[in-house]
Amino acid sequence: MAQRAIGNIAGGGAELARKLHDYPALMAQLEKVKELSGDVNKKGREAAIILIRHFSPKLSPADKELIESKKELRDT
Amino acid sequence: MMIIKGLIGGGEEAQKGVCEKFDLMTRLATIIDMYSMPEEGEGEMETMGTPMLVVRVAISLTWAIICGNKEVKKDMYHHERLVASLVAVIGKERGEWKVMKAGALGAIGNIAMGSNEVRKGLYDVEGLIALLVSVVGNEGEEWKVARENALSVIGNIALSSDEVRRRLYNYPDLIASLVAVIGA
Repeated sequence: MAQRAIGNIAGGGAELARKLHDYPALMAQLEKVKELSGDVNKKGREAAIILIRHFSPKLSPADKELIESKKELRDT
Repeated sequence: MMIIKGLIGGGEEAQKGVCEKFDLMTRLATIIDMYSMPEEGEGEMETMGTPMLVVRVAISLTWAIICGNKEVKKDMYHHERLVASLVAVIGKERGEWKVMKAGALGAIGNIAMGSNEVRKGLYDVEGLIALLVSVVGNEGEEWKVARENALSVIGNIALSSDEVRRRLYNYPDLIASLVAVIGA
């Protein structure tokens, strides 16, 4: 439920998502929940994975360029 | 009240019909108010026993009524006293109020599943967000249901608009409380 609340708040735009991504301890807690095992933690684990994906920083222009250049190399 | 509870189990139309026919919201708000508002009445009520049960049933009935019908949720939100009465219950600290608090949070959570207009309005209900943050901060198994219901209310209110989401992010201690729950 806490993860759902954070996810909903993060839906308020890129700036909020970035602020939450940088919020002290949040990502560490999510990573911790992601590693929990057992059926009892299934929902929490899944919610953590979704949130981590949501918060993962977008590719920088330099990264995009690099990926594109490798693609070109592969195509030739 | 148990008969009414049976009647509203008959579907969304039955819920709305029963609410209108018996002016149920006003009656429930009156019962909840009667026992939740005056601080000095608490001790007296706790020794009375039965009235406590009546309030409990009234809160659970309120929770049940709001389950299905969006129109009923909206009517409940717009009722002159009902939300304020439920918020007063959430603010109680002692004894059996913990159970009632969980029920009142469940009822508000159901109201918050209605329209965006209702969700936005709930953000501005006096004292509600502060109480939600304080409930989320309570540790231990005895607070589990109340805590989960409070988190659900916050999650639903956060669905309303970007403006409300920004205000929730900036609300003192709110994000810190959510992060603490994730790590618990």
